[in-house]
Amino acid sequence: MNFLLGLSLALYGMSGMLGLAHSARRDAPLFRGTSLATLTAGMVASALWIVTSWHSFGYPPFAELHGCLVLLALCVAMVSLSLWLVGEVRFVGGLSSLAAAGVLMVGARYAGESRPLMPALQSLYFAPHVLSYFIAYGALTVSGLSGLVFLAAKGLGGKRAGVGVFLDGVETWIFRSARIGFPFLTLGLVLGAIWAQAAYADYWSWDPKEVWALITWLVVAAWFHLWRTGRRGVLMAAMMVLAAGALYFTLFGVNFLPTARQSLHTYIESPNP
Amino acid sequence: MTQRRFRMWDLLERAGSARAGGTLLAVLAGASVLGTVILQSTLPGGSPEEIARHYGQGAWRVLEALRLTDVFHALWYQALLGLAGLSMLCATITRFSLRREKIGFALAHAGVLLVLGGGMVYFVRGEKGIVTLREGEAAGKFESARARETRPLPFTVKLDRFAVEYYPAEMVFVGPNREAVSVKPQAGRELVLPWDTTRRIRFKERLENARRVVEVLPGSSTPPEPAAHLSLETPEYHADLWRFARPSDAPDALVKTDGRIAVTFSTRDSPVVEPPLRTQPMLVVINHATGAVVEIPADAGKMFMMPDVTPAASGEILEILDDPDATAVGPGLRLQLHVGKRMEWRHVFAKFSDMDMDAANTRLSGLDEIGFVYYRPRLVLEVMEKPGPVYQLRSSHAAETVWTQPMKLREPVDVRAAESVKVTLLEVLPSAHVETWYEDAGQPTGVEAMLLEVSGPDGGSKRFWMSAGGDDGTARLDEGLMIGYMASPDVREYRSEITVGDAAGVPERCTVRVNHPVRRGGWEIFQEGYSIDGMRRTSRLAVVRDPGLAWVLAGLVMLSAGIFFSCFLRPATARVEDRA
Repeated sequence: MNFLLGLSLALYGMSGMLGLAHSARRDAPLFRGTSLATLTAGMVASALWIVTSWHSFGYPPFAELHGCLVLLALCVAMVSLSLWLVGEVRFVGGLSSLAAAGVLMVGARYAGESRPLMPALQSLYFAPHVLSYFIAYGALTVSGLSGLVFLAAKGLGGKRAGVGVFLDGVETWIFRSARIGFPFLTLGLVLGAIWAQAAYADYWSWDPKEVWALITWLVVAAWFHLWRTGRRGVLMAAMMVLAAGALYFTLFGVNFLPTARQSLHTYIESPNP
Repeated sequence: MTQRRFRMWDLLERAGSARAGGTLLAVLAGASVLGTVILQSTLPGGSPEEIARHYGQGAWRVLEALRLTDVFHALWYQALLGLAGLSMLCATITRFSLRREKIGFALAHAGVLLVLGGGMVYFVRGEKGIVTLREGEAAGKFESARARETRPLPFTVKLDRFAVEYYPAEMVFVGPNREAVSVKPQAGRELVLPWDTTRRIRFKERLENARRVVEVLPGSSTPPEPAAHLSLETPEYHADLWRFARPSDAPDALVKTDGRIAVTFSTRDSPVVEPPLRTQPMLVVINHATGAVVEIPADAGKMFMMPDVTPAASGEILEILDDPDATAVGPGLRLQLHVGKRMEWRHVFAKFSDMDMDAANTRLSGLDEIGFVYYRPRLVLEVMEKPGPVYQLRSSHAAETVWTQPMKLREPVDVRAAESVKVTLLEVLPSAHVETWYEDAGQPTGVEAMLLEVSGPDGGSKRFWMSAGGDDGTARLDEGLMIGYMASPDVREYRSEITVGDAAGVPERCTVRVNHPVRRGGWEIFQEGYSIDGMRRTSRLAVVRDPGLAWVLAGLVMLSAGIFFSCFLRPATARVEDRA
């Protein structure tokens, strides 16, 4: 594993442990500070890897799954950090850092020689499209995790002492991170459509990958509409978990669909595990 | 009346409520899932037969009746989209406001309406399709994607040239203990091998589109290598070629020949094994199971039966493919084969080597082997040294001399074995060697070449050309160094140079690349794809006329702007109500 990425992985992991320790022992401010510091340091290491790879390839390192997952981990960490800075993230914060570490670990499996950019990817839309999408992925990952925490706490019996602590404010975090994710999800989809118009003569071709990106967007959009009606609770948390699931299905799962062999575009080359 | 208007407004508000919108969006998401888990007829590999085979006839009929094999163009899906659009329209009407906290809402909803409206404009008035062109071809019509028929274009497109460019090749240097270093060579750079710092490798010159030049020069080769310069005149072509006396030792300086006649230059001490004498190219069909053979003259339009095949199988020679670039596959035939009710198209190629009479065989679906052979007469030019050099042209059949004829320099001789073929001996060099180098071809050839200067361990240096992936793709300098030059398989760019013309305007030349379409009137021309079949390059261009595109693009921008505004820039008062 690359040194910077290894360092980043270790720091995300440490931040996750410290974040969880903080939610258990809220009277120890040291945990919060060190968790934030290690998370920031891990992000700097990942960002350095992206900048140096971009420089040495001469193009954004997002044409392969490896680079995409490094970016995804960074975005998860970034959203988690921004939520930490707004207020108490608590349990979700530590969990997000661990999720970032997990994503980076999965990404390491896909490390390999980078192939040069195919003609369709040589576009000004490439970097902004991928960046918007992964900011959205990062935010909706945090949102989905918050939803999972909410559902788990409810399942364990929210009224019971000790568990209620996890429910406290979690819904706000679902909403806040979704509010970061939704605009970038939309921007990513829109940039993808405009780019496809230039590259494939079609802003929309009902390709399975495109359709799943749309499904994700529809679920998140539906979630925001229902949120506006004042609906809260288990249904909303479950729906956000579903949205995050659809999001990850778009990234990893589409290849397993029966229609996948009919797919025109493979945005990400198949990995070599 | 007021009561009624109130009710109407109430209805609109309900239809445009966040609750109705959210529900519709969720239903739409669920419906969309169906279109990705069921094979779709609109995607590649989605012919009715294939889908029926996948699900079984009964299930396929049900899917087809419910339009589940084309979900996104089915009336029920479009109706859902329409309902969502109506709901949005209601929402925009009932809640439109220029207040700051409502701007995001208005932008996003109006944006989606514009996208749907633009899509409808395309559906009603737009056209899209494919124009497939070979180099030099022109077309004034296109294969419509929606109508599945050929439709006229208001202009003609002519493909002047199609070019594919690859990423730069890589050079690998391998040392005596299999140490290796690989670089992307750049002209002017220098490389020091990590395992042997006494060696220097200088990349002198790099040609992106190279053409190989072979020249025979008088020179001091040991042992002396005699070479003859011959001119070959046939009704179809003229060939100018060099032949070495021992072609197995020295590389042939092949200039041009079409495979029908091979000329070997030999001195008396170099025996030549003679193949059968024929001038007519033959197609040989061999049934390897029974050993049956059919031989027919290879002429376009000739029909033939395949030997001992049940059910009966036959074929037709559609076209003779010449080999202007003298590639390794040689000339070929395009065949159409009928096996039972099945029809196949096949290319068969003759191997292109003077020394090797083996046919290039291609296996036909495990049924037969079809071989295409060009039989050639073997003409041998002999030099007899005593008394003084005497030249003679000899033709032979099965190691038996059929005829011989004395030759004089610059005097054409009729070849008796091959009608209307004249051979002229232009020049004989008692000792010659071949020099090979590369020059810029001035057009995309797909061959990259590099001039290297390698200093050896003894201090001396050697300059030579290499080509990526070609005949000169590897070089073993000595025991200490081997060099490989490998072309990249990755395409960097492909482009069509086209001329667009119509009855009114002046023809306009332009280049279409991926991500860089060309506009002409209300139409756009895109580089969609390409195929390379043998020597023929075919470009697939997409042509689109979409009067709704501007609406869609404007709508997409409004949608993003609206959602950004709603989520990030809404005033704090509006945000408070969102809090849990």
